[in-house]
Amino acid sequence: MRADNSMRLSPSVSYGSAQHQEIEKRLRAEAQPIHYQGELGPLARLFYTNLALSLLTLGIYRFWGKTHIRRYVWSQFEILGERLEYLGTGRELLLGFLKTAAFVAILVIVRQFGPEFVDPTGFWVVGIALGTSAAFGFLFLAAQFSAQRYRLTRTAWCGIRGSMEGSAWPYAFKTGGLFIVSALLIGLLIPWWRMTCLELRISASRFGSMRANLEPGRSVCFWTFMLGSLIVGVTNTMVGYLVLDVVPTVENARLAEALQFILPLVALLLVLPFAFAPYYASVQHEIFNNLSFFDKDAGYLRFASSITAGGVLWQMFTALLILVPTLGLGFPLVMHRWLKFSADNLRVGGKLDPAALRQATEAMPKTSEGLLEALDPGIL
Amino acid sequence: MTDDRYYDGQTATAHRVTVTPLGNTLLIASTGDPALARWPIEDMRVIDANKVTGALNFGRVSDPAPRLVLHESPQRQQLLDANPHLKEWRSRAAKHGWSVGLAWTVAGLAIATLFYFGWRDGSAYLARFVPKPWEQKLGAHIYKAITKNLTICEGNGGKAALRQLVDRLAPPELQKDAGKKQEGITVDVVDMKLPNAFALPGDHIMVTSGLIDIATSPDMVSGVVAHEIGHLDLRHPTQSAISNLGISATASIILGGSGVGDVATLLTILSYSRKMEHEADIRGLDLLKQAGLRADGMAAFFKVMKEKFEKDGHSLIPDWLASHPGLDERADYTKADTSGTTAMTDSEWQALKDVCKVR
Repeated sequence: MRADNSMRLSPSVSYGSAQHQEIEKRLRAEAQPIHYQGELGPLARLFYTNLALSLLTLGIYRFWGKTHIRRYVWSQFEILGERLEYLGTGRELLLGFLKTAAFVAILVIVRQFGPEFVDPTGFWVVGIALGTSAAFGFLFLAAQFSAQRYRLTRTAWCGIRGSMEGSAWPYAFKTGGLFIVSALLIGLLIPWWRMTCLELRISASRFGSMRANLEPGRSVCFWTFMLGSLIVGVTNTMVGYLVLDVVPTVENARLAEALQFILPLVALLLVLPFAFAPYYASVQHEIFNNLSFFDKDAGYLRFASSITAGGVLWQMFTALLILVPTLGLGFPLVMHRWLKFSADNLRVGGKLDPAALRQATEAMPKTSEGLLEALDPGIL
Repeated sequence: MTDDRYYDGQTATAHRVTVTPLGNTLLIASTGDPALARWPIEDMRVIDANKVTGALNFGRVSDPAPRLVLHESPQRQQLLDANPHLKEWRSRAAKHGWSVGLAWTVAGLAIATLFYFGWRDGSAYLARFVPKPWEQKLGAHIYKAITKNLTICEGNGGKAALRQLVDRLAPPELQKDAGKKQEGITVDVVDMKLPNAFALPGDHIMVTSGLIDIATSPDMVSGVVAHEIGHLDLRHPTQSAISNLGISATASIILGGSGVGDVATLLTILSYSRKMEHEADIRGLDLLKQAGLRADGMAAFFKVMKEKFEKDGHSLIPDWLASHPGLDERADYTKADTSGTTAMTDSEWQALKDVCKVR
């Protein structure tokens, strides 16, 4: 279900009209900042306690640790004077993980041993490998949808929960099909595909009785993605040339050996993250500047992002400066800085009647989405 | 009106409220509604505290949606003082956190211990479910790795004598049976000085010419062959592959993946535990007795090996004989009387002795 354009601001204003632009301008000016009030100390304490207990329990405690950190971080975000609340539990994360682990184990067993049962020749080996890869990709896409559903239903503001309409399977079929199309076009359509995934997911989202609507532009993201790809391509060529043609001419064998190792590493650390900073910033812009929540009784909420590529670059650069010398132990500081940076660059405004914003009616899933939790290395 | 707020969980309205504890109930009042809500205090819980404002966030156990945010006030203090389960929320939360942490730490350590100590028994259990064709594939890789630089002895008389011995000793489930699609045990002699014998996955036995040379009677060879058939019957090769290499590496070798060319990796499969060697000895003795053959050759062979060990040192003795269980101990518990027939006729024994001389 997609809200029509006129619903983006209020029922009487049509999208793109002069009146709409005027409202948009006023909205930007009136929008209130989102505050992140968290402090480094409590976050670091949670992080190191979780790290120690996760090691002791062979990773099992991770699910509870993640929940504690989410509960803390959520509660420190203040939107329109009201704090967010995280409602999830560690048990739900663990159960979700176990459920998905069982699925993945079945896929791995079919992939490893399947050909032995039918015919261990080329056709079946390739067929089963392709089939299980496709099933895994499909599962991953469905997981994107259900992970968002889990997080939304576990996020409350003023006692009102988020939710999602529809099922993960049609989403996985649609985005899976589009991925194959964009992959056939040598990946040129990847930024378009990613934005489509986001659009489908966000448009299925609700907050209480308000429905989310996202109609992002795609051209800026396409060009920033191409810029990133170009930078990576040029860097790869240069590093390849240096390692294969220049380094072997260095007389000092030890230095040559060290350079062969260091050059690609430096390129990987310095160039790759920075190459896609403009792309990241443009995606954030397209999402938040085109995102609205609307309910005919409650009104609407809109967001505005002021994130810049330079800001993202600076965050990444400082993150590297913190993470590399501390061997990753400085992660709480990076996370704290990133959360503040994200909040500082986001504003929210609109016209909302809280008395008319009703509780979500969609059912809450009983467990988390385990696949993304398992693959997601982030602490959030 | 204070900054205290109440959210009913039905709409997003932030009601500005005052609260009054009335016995077991907390009365929540707003300007428009003096009895907006009544919360049974027993049903209340503290969710968290706002670090900036110091406000406490209350919820209900029976209903996850409503919230009550109370700032520092005499009413809040009265509520907390009268109800330890609310006042001690921090220590309760910490206690809960530590008990969850401790429970999972114990669970984690228990799982690790179970894996560490239970892996061999677990692999014995798993080995039973590995289909024979997979074992044969695994065995074929090891066979290829071992025989790469060795010669297989082709003396027909010797091969036939050994074949006949294996057929006499093998239990029904290891006999060749076309009806049951059983391939039976295959056996080879390799030209190698080191006295040794191996049981490979996929029901294959290898005996070195060095072992035949050192044996002073066919009953010693039958003892060793019975011991190796014991390994096969108990599915030790597959069990050893799983416990030494892990499931995924074993599967990858079966499927021709990485590790196939690595002889050292493949040979770790053939290093059996002390318990497995003991089991194979006992099973071997049973097989000898069931076949009506003399069972004293096994103990005699261990004695010969011990003498060789004392004479030549450790390097010329294969691991499975030199290490565990001790040769003395093994000679002791495999001791048997001289009843039963001898394993081969003189001419068969001679042919086996010459098996590597015929090219």
